Amino acid sequence: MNVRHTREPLDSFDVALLSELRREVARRQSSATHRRRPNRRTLALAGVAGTTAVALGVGMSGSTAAAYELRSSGNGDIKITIHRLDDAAGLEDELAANGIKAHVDYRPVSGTGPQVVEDQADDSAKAPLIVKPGDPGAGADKNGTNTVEEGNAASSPCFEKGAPALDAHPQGDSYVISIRKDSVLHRSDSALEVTTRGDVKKGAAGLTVNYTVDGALCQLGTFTSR
Amino acid sequence: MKHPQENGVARIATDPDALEAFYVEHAPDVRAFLVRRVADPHLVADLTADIFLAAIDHADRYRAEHGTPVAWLMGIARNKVADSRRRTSRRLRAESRVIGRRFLDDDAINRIEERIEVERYSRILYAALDSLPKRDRRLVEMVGVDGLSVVEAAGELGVKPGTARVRLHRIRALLRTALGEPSLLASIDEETRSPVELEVRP
Repeated sequence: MNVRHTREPLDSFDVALLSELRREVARRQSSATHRRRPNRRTLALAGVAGTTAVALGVGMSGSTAAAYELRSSGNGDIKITIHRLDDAAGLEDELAANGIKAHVDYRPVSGTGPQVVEDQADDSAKAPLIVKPGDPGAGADKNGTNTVEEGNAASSPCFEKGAPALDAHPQGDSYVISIRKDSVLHRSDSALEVTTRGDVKKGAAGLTVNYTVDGALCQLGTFTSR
Repeated sequence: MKHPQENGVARIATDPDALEAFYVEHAPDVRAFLVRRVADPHLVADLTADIFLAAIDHADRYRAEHGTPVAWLMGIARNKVADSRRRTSRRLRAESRVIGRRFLDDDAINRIEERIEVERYSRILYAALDSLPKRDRRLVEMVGVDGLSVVEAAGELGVKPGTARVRLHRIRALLRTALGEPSLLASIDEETRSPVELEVRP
């Protein structure tokens, strides 16, 4: 006993797992960079991007009412209503219990002060923009946003059966995220990300909903307060 | 100034090459740790992924003054195995960003099953270890099974090396008694039975 294990050659399992772990580290780096320097270009690099900007009515912590509500319908659809930017861990846990990995972080981006990454009132910006995975430079328009022809949704990792993983929209003073039962978010290689941009207390924050699928970052939108 | 090992471990969260070096160095330790505790190759694969993901997630928490990287990693492994016993495998998979069993092919399953078979004696030893108080069980696992030195194990437990040695001496006597009970050893083949040695390295 008591012999430290000598180096062993990696087998097929090790090679495959290590490859995935390397991608995970690269994803984390990409995500960290994204949080530090959010800008239009970063959004354009997403696997799919549909950017929307509306007034953010979701309040800060402090109230005694429930911060969020998660309803799972009998057919497997999930509806999350965020009332306040509070209890991120509770929402993560509840999503995990429903089979969805999630990273929820309402903390302000540190060190850079209030940031508003999207502030588009233009209705045309609400149209979904689809970007070829792995081809971030293709078809960039004058705003730096990539667009490709219709029909590529089927080949994007961000879609399942031609639809994005979730629907997200403000509803009154709350924010609603709907996830269908056949969403890619139920797959093991995908994860939901709900983060804030800027400092809510300073009134300059945006709520960003992204998801990752097999290494591709899929962005649905940033909802900014004004 | 940070200890060089500290920086080395912290880099696994940001540098894929540093992660690869860390994985190549420690994957055999993790596999050995798991097959001594888990008899299902699919769970071994899932836990391997979970352990390295947790190491990546918490790399910035590693402190060299508290122990070596391998001792830190074994601490993570111990927690993950304990978690796996508390939760259903479905719940574990739902919470994992990377599902280890996805990367298993038949050859890899066979290799892990062989290791699991070889370690069946160790898993029975754990039945005896379960009778020990938690702090003593962790000490004997680290030193007697996972190959840490007494100094490394003491650091992980936050006790002085001398204290750890005294405890090990007492544990050795207790286990010798426990393993002498025929009921506990009944399921072990005669040829695999060997004296339990808890060698103490300085």
